Amino acid sequence: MTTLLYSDPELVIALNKKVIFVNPNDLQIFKEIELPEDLYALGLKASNNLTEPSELAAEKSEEKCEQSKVSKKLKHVKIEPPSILHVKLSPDNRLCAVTTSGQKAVLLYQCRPEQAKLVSVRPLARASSVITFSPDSKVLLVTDKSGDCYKYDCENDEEEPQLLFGHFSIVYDLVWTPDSKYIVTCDRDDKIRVTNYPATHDIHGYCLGHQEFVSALAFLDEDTIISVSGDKTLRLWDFKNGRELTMLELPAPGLRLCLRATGENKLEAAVLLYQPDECIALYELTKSDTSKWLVKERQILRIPGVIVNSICFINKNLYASGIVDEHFTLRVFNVDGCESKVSGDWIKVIEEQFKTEVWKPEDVSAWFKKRFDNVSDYLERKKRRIEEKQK
Amino acid sequence: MVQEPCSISLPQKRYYRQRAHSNPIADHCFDYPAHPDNVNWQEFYPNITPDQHVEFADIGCGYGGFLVTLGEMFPDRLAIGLEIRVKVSDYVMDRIKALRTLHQGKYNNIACLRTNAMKYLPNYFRKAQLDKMFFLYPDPHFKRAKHKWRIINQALLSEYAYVLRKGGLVYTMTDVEDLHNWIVQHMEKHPLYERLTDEEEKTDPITPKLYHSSEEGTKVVRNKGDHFLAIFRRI
Repeated sequence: MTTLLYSDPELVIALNKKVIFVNPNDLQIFKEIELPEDLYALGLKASNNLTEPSELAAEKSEEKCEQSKVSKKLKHVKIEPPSILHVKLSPDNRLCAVTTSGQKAVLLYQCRPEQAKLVSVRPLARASSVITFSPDSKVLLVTDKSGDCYKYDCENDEEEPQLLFGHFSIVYDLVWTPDSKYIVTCDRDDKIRVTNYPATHDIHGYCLGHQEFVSALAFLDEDTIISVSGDKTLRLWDFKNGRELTMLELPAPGLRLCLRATGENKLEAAVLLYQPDECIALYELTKSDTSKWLVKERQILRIPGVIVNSICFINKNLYASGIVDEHFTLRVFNVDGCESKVSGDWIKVIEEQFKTEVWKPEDVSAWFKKRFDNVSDYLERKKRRIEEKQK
Repeated sequence: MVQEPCSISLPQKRYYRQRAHSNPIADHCFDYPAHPDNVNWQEFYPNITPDQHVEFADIGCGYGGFLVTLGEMFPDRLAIGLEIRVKVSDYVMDRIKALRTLHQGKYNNIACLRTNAMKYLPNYFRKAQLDKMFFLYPDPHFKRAKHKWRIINQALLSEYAYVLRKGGLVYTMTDVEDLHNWIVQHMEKHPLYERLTDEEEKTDPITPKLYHSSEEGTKVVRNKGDHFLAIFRRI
């Protein structure tokens, strides 16, 4: 997986084992993080005990057995090096969080004032699906493939991760209201959920209406969120009241979303689509005098031959990272949606950084629900049985 | 749906047997409403009035024995049985149809819905809609790896608290002591529930019915097994 994100003044790009921090204007690499080969040597504990803290005594002893088995296994098997799943910078830009597969862990790096310095290595129960810092940068939330959401304290590195809440399918996005009162999550079961914070046991409500996975969320203002989904729609919600405000058809299923302000009460949204070539749609969002958001389709960007995986705005430009022939590529579009030529040289320098990394795209088709019919067969047999009886 | 022809008799269970376990995490062939607004409750309750809504939910209602009792006990309130297994839920639907035919004007307040209660409760019920939820003889999912499949766990308890009104009750019953301990431990740890006192549990008019009306329960009584009851209040 790659991550592409912008946190003024740095563009952050991550793939496999390396994270680089780049100045998007002159291409200078500020710093980089190379993942350590052996996280167990840095104190990572086997992570299979990351369930609820309230287990019965019997289970605990069972777990100890499992753990000793795991550690025995580790001695004999060559340790698989960790690989990056997700990267995020804290809102105050002081911390960089990295989740890894292979050796499943949550790493925290201190980015300021010095070069990136690894400050904590904590276990990760299952592969992460989203990571998000709290607005005050004090807490990192990590959701995993099974839908659980764990809290990692960023001030006390020693503190065990804590299970906050759970969905019943993978969580694709998690956003935190700027006032920290709500966490909004979306999952593969078509749901957007609004959870109170810090009372995360208390569900505030749901925004229901999507009919496939909900892949990405963002705030338009303090009461409104935008969502995109595999059902080929983009929707706006009054999320505190669970009310759908607007719906717009997308040309294809939506996978990711990013926003930039283009003026007062005016935003531009880029939606990454699940279709070849014409894979980014741009929308203009305008807030009217009556506080109603209007959505207008602006244009579709063509990126032939590239499987785009990540998008982000930097000032007026849209950056897209993706895969060509199993290798990393970066594309930049200017405000008119034209591919920016000027940056060609420095993009090569960035691509050079990841030249040796082989990268296979994620199979997004697995996000869609598999409909298998276990009903009509039964009904057919029942019908025959009843007909038999009537004869 | 295929119907037993003009059911003068109740459906026979032997045609509807199905193994006791179901994977609640997997995708299934379910039609579920995107929003509670989209449910046509008239299909379930022919005499429903506009100001009436479902208040009781029997989660994993099995063959519907308790659901029928509940309908008899509270003729003015609507109860729904949720069951994930195709044949078993179909049995309950046929059973209710037959009961309605056999007893004109009765049993119009109970219905059965085939769905996955772990995933789709908020698709059917609004916040604070339900007054009582029942978890009777749930699948114990003994293996540790399958504990996430248990119908009572930390994450699901928050979902149940969402659909339950304040003061609403959760009834749990099992013949597996370990599961009972698990349920009590998780419910007591969750900030939105408190357990009723022994006295309150004993005097609840539903309590005696819990021991006798579910088929699984009857079986356990026959086997002289122990039952473990616990009732909790949504705070």
